[in-house]
Amino acid sequence: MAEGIAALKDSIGVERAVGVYEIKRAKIESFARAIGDPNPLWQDIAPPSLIPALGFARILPELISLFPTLLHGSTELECHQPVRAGDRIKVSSKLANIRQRAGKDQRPVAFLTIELTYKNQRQELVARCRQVLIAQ
Amino acid sequence: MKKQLYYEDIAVGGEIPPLVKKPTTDQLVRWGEVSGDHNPIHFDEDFARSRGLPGVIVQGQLAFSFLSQLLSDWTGEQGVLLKLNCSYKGMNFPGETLTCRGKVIKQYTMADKYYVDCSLWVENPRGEKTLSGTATVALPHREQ
Repeated sequence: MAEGIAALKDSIGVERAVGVYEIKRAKIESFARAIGDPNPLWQDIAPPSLIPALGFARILPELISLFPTLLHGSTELECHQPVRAGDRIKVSSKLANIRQRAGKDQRPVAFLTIELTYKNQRQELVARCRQVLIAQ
Repeated sequence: MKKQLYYEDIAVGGEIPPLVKKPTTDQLVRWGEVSGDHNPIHFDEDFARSRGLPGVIVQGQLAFSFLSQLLSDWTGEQGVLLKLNCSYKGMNFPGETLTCRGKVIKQYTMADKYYVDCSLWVENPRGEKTLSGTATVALPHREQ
């Protein structure tokens, strides 16, 4: 685990572009179907849970390659305005901090806090999300 | 459309109508496709076992979406989710019935807007809380 943490040290606090995601109506509908939520609201407006899914998968492979075990600790989502069909959402992320402590079995555990920001095509803040991943 | 919930309809301690979900292995695959999460611990039984898991597990963020649905089903079209925080406390497995529950912990007004804070959780069939969290939702008021 120490190697994984050493490899990430320089990226702490550095904001990185993750990607730009076009929110088509079809994408909203397939997401709503995938989560099994038939609410008719989810046609022009995206379910809020779509936001943390945007780009999350792109930041995972690097972390998975660095740590033998990586679990999801928590998700904190703050919504500033709804994501609507036709929006283009720009996602950026930064590793805010790494905290280490001894786990239950005395193996060291690292808590990686990743902060993501979501802006629309008008550069307005749409949402923020803080993800905590638990690495061993 | 879901019935609209108003600020006057809620009370501290009041329960949110539970939402029952039963994620299937197919659903895990579909969520993996729409989210781009291709971690095989959610699709490949043998791989999941090789990682010391009892089998494939439900993506944390799929379960997060269940809590989001619990809220939107309850608050109706004009309820606006402002914050949803949750901790992943335990693993969920496809085929298991998950009951999403919540209750009102605080209601307040600020700058002529009406808010409700809730505690939320997901229970597995053994009554264990596999997710727990809090949310803030803005609600409409009947007289405004």
